[in-house]
Order: sequence, then structure tokens, then C-alpha cells
Amino acid sequence: MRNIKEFFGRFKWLFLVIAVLFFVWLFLLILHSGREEAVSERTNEVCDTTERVFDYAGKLTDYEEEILRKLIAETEKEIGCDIVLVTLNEELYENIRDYADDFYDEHMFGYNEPWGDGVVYVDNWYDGNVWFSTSGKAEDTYSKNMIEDLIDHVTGITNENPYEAYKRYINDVSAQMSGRSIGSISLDTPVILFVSLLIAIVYAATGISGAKAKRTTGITEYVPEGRPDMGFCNDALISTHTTRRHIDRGSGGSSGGGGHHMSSGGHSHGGGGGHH
Amino acid sequence: MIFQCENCGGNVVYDPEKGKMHCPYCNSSDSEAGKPGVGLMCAGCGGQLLAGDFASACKCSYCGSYNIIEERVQGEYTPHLVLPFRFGKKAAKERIIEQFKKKRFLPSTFLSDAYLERMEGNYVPFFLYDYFCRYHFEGTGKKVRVWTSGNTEYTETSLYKVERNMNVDFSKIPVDASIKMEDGMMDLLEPYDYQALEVFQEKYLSGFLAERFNMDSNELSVRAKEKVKSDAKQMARNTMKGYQSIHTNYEQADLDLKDTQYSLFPVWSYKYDYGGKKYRFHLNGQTGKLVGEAPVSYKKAAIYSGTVFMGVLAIFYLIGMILEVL
Repeated sequence: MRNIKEFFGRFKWLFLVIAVLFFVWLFLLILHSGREEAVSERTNEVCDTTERVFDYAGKLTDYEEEILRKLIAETEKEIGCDIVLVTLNEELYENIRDYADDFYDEHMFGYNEPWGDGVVYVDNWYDGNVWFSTSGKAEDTYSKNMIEDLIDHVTGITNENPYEAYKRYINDVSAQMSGRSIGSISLDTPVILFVSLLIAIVYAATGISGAKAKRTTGITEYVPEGRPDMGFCNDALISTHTTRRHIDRGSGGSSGGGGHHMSSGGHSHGGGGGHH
Repeated sequence: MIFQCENCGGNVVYDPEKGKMHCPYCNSSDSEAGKPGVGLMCAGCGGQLLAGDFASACKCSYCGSYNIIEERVQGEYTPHLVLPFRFGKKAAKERIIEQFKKKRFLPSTFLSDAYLERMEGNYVPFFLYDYFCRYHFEGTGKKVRVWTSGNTEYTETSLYKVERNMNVDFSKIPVDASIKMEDGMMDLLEPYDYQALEVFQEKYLSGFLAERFNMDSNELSVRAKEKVKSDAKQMARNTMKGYQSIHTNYEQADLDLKDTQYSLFPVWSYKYDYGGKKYRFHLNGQTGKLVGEAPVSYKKAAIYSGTVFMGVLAIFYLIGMILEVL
């Protein structure tokens, strides 16, 4: 009984925070349940296709393609952006960036208008190169770091599990465009698990380690005069020598940013690439 | 011998908080009268005292009276000085609770009153050494200066002959003369306030346990000399400023023993056995300084850390869920 009381006493703040967050979530859930999310309807009627998953490399099963299509359809409504996935397995005679931009432009993707809000992820299995191209409000939202995070996140598992990797792509875009991520860290289970584990380990380590008693007597503790009687004190210079060394001042490096570019069709795109 | 109350016949003990003898039975003060005992028999009930080889004061396991074994505080065993307890048992318990109450994984019984009540007040035998030390040092000191001019870095290294001669008068360096008390822990309990030293009187022992010295002062002087040499060396080092390194060429410390005094110092001891390990805590009965490492309940550590893990996980997920709704 005493242990239980001590346990709840020690963690009252933790339980309180959890309870408050739970009730906030519940309150928001009730608040939002009455009304459907105000999502603007897709207004691009010029786009030449309703397809979003172009698995030219044949890396997905029909069933997986169908799930991705459904996920993309739901996400597009939520975030108001077209989400396109292209897999290839061929030697490109143009830059993969230009291929991605042109693919987007030629099909006139864009949720709000042709060449408007949307993203396309091109994965070429021939050489492992990938490109994530952004347009419209996605171009405004995605910074260079965010793009790099997405590429790293997706390419990390592409070879092992392409289906999961492409699902990550869709979910990452969804989280980023809807603001469901904290900074550049998305609320992924592995990240959460790792951070929680780290906090628990630190908590345990600081609780187990104990401060040991220190010596609290000074060196003159048992000297009534408080200091020694210095009879002779001599510091005589014996020798001095100087060495010199040339400093090689190399030129400092600089880092450049990615930014925006124009596609061959004359439309503005952002984006970044990687390799798996 | 025991001290008996002249008013009620109860066992009178020394009360650290009041600084005087006190009868816990009738609440009288300074009402004590010494009643001599015989050998290792309780002066109160005649029972056999479990005093071992060194105890000079102990509690009768039959009647609970605090006995002082006279032949162990007389003659060659008469302490010159005593530092009376300033912290009583209640204050000592509070001090331990204060020190450890914030520790997360303490076994639940560690700070329980039932266990803390086992604390014992001990008068630990100490020898206090007075040494005159003549310290001489010769060495080579190195100073390094680095500066830059244009694209060239200059390093100037200067060597100095360093000499020190000094005399230090050390007074009352304490060394415990108890086998059962661990030397390292006793050293950490220092310092004691010597202003409060009193000429030894048997009444100070009533209500506490005590030992006569277990080893003689010659045997223990080695530890005192080590302390003197170490402190003298450090004092000399403190006068050698600005050197990056100092190499010792010659070092000599000559010590003259001026005086040795046998004294009793107050220490509260708390013994706690947990998980097959013996934990020992000692508290300076005069200053309240506490020495000892807290025990850890690994079961509690696992449960608490698991709770933190799950709690943080829940917070992250709830934040994620809230963001999703938003």
C-alpha cells in the first residue's frame, strides 16, 4: 500500500500531463466530429489522367498498387496536393530531375490548377537514382532539409521493401503538408520509441548513480597559523628556447542551398534527389 | 558503571540537544550519581555485558542500561579529550532522511522509522597528532608561451629551477584507532570542531556506545605522517604558480612528533543490509556530515523507468493524435 502511494506520488505530474493531453485530444475529437474537414475540392480539370501510381518498373503487386492509390486519394483530399509516384527501370537520356519535372508538367498535375500544387517521386531502379519534385504550395513548404529527410527516410528501406518505402513517401508528404510533424522530425514510431527509451535510460542512470561524499578538509585544516612558514622560495630561470611553425591557412568551405529551378516547360519546381 | 537518577533510579544519559545529563524516565536534569560496576557485569542488573575486546561503553542487553566499563576508560585508556555529541538520534535520523529522500530507487524500508531506530551513537577512539614538519623541495618547472604573428606560430619554452623550504606546524591530526570503523569513511567525516573539545568525563559516554583504542599511537602514526606529508607537499605546490608542469628532482619531509592525545569523537552509525550487500552510513555526531552510498532497489528502478518509458511514449502518441485531429 505504501509502495503504491509512493509510486503515484512520484509520477503524479506524468499522469497529470497524460490525462490533460488525453482530454485535449478527446475535446478536439468531439469538436471536429460534428463537421467534416473543410477541404477544397480539386479544381484542376485539365489534368490528363486520374492515375497516380505509375509502376513502370513493376516493383509493386496489383494489390499494393491499389492500396497506394487509395492512400493517395485520401491524402490528396486532406492536404490539397496531387501525389504522384513513378517507378522506372531504364536508362534515362535526360537528368532524372528533368524527367520528374517534365512528367509532372506533361500530365498537367496540380490539385488546384495545371502545374499547380503537388509532388512527384520518381524512383529509377536501373541506377538507383530517385528524385522528389515539388510544385505550387508543396514547393513553398519543402525546404532543402525537409526534402533530404524525406529522401533518406524513403530510400532507407526501398531495396528491402519498395511498397513500405512508397507508403512512407505518401505519409511523409501527408504529415509535412498538414503540419503533423514537429520541425523536421515526423512522429514516427521508431523515433518515438528511441526518444522514450533514451529518456527512461537517463532517468534510470541518474537515479542509480549516487554522489559520493567528498573530503571537506582543506590542506591547512590542521595548521593553526593557517599557512606554512616559508623559509626559502626560489624560481630561477635556467633556459629559454623558442620554436616557430608556419600556419597553413586553407580556404574555408561554403555550403550552397538547393532552391528553385525552372522546368523545360517553363514551370517552377523545387526538389531534391538521392540514391538507394 | 552506570549513571543512575537520584530522583527515580532510572538510567541517566547524556542529552546532546540539551548539552547535559538527562533522565528519560522522570525528566530530571543533572540528577545523576555514578554506580560502579564489576568487570563485565551490568551495574544495573548484574547481567553479562556483551562488550567484546574493545567496547568501553555498551548497552546491557537485559535491562537496557548504558554501562561504562571503567577499566577501559582508566589508566592508559583514559582519553585526554572528548567531543560530546551535538546531534541527538532524532536529529541524526532527520539528517539521513534529508540526505536520501530524493533518491528515486531506495528500498522502501531504508528510511522507515523502524530501521532508522537501529542507529547507534558511537564514541570512536582517535589519536590526535601534533607534528612539526620541515619540507624541502627542488624541481624543474616548465612555462610555455604561445603567440602568433602573421602566418607563424611561436612557442617559447622556459625552464626554471624551483626551490622551496618551509616549516609547518600541524596540530591535532586525527587518526581513528578503531578496527571496525573503515579508515576511508572516518577520514571523510572530518573536520571536527576542536573548539568543542572537552576534558574527558565518563558521563558523556552514558547513552552511547564507545570503544577504547584498538591499536596504539605508534602503530597509527604512519597514517598521520602520510597526511602531514601529503598536505605539506600540496602547500608547497600551491606556491608554484604559472608552471605548465613541474618535475620533482628532490623532495624531503622531516617530521618531529610533538604530542599525541587520545580522544573520543562522536559518530552515528546506521547499518542496512539489502540484496546481500552491507551498507554502512556514518554521520559526524558534531557537524552532521554524512558518509555512505545509498542502496538501490533494482526492482523499483525497473518499474519506475518502465513507467517513464511508457509515460513519455504515451505523451508523444497523444501529441501525435492531437496534431492529427488539428
